Amino acid sequence: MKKKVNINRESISSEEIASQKRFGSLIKSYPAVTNPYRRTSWRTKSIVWVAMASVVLVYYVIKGESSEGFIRPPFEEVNIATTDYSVDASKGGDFTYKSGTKIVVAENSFLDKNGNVVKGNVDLKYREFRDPIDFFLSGIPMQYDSAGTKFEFESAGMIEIKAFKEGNALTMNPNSPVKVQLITTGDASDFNLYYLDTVAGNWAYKGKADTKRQMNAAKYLASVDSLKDTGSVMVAAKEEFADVQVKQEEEKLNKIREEIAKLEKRTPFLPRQLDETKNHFKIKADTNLFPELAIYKNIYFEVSDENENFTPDIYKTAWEDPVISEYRKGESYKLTFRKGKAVHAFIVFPTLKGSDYDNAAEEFSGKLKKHSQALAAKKEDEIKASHDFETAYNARREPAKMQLNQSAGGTTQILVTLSAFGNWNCAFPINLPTGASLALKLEDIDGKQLGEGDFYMVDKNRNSLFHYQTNTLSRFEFDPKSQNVFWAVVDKKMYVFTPHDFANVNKTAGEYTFQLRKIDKEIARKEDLSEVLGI
Amino acid sequence: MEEAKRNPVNFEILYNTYYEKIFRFVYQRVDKKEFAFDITQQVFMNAMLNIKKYEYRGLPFSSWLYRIARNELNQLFRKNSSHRTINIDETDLRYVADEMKVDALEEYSQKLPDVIAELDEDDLQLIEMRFFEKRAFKEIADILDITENNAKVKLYRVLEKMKEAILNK
Repeated sequence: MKKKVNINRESISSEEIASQKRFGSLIKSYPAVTNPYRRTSWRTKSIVWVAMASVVLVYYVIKGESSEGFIRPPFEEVNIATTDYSVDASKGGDFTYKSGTKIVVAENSFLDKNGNVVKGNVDLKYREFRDPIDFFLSGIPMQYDSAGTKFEFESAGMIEIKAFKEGNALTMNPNSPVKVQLITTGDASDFNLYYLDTVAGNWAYKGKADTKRQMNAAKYLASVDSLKDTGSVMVAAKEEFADVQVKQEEEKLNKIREEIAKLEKRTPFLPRQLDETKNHFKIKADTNLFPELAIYKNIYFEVSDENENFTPDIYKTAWEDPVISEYRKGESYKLTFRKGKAVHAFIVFPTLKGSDYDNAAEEFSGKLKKHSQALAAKKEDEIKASHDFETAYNARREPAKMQLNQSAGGTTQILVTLSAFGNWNCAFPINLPTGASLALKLEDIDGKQLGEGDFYMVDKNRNSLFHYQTNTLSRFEFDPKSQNVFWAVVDKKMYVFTPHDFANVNKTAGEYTFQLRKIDKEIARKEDLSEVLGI
Repeated sequence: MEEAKRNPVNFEILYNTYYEKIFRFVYQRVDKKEFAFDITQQVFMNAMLNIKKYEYRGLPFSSWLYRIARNELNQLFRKNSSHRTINIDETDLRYVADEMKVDALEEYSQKLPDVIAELDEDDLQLIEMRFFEKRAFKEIADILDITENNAKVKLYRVLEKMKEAILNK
């Protein structure tokens, strides 16, 4: 018989291989041999071999069955409901869950317990677990044992998918697998995929999550925000989020700013009174370049004492037309003389003499006041126009941003080709939180110690559910900078320690007692739990 | 090793050390990784059960494990030959064709998968170990329990057989 040949099969990583190590299972199956295996009669040997073979056989038989005893929902009547779909197994079909997740069932995806392809209608049951309350209600452990090291899962989303025909559980046809396109907010590109092995009682690593995220839009938005910080928001507004109103507001703002610039350039300037004992020049200033001087007639430019190289010989030369340039704004200028290769430049002050100065001085304070008022008014207009522009800009930007987010700009599509029905988790292993460490005792508010049970904590900065057994609370750690909520389920009753309670904890106490408040409210829905836990 | 012989719990170090090697050996020869994981576990169970029989007399422990894996696979394939799968990287085919010292390398590479699929198990193991797993002749010899020279001779006879089969296609 010709053998099957695979060309360029996808390689398997060392990590995935390591995740399947199960020495614990191996040693459990190892037969307890009370006598050393030495030379014995053939009859004894046979008995030993049969016993060993039975152990090995039992090992295989047990492995073939699934055991879900370690999934323990805390409430019998409150859980995340499944959504049922009916699919024609021969044709397959696409289904969209309420979250937007798409389930793609190929033709002939289902096998019965004998490995035969199933025909006819199949019942598909699907549900998702998105947040710590979902994780809690499901009773599915969110802890991960990676080659002996225990982690908690931070999850981008967990799914459960099962198939039945006439009440009998079906398995997946590996040649025609079901695919799921899970939608999640945020960036899950660093996350992995895990499958819940209900026999081993652990999650099995299945590789990196295949994620699809529209980064162009997100990068653009980030660049828009950064432009805003540098004051170039108008460029960004034009390119992406501009619409008619935004453009109008932008034009209005620009116009006002131009007028302010012109006004500032026309700030009234009062020349000094000429000191006729000092060297000076009478030169006509270019009114286009220096409008502040244009309002004055008969300006004399007095040579500043700063000039060390000035000599009166300069008056003896017929220079080309001198050039005036600004030196210290609102105060002094530079006068440059040229003739051939000779160049001389001097710092000068504009001055007026006699009655010209007297008249200018008289008018100046009025002009300055008028100018200041005009400038102040324009600046007020600028503030308003800037606010109007920001409002129009943000009003346009936020819906655009949300639209981009919804069209996968700020969400991630996780593409999973399932290899089996059951629970799949897009998650990342993290450690328990750290920061403050306490040897914890738990009591109710009457001071009565809480007994054995299950204890949970949620750090609102992580999409994780931390689960503790009683004996691990002797070294309880939490992040004091986060908002945390802790609760206990003891004898089917719930007790809670709120974020407010956490805020009052003495973090350096060493030993500390949490007094948890018993929840009397009936928990009938997920929303009831959200309310009592505040998450 | 001696600790593992005294108490199987001490076998864990050997398990962890060789797990990936054995898995890859098994996975090279079957189709599904879940199946390969199951077989790997059984190989180590057999190794644990028979650890007291192992004594180092020039045979590395890894080769002893490979023998157990090979035996386990052979038993499996005898019961159900459909489990036997050949997994090939295209780049490895060129090594095979190159080793056959042929002119039309490209043409040979294309026909090789079919020819390899028709080899009997012993010949196939030689090709797999030498060209797909890149093992040295010494290691191949240890695993197959033959001499190194014998391993070389057998391999080249297989290559000749394959060359002839391609020419007849």
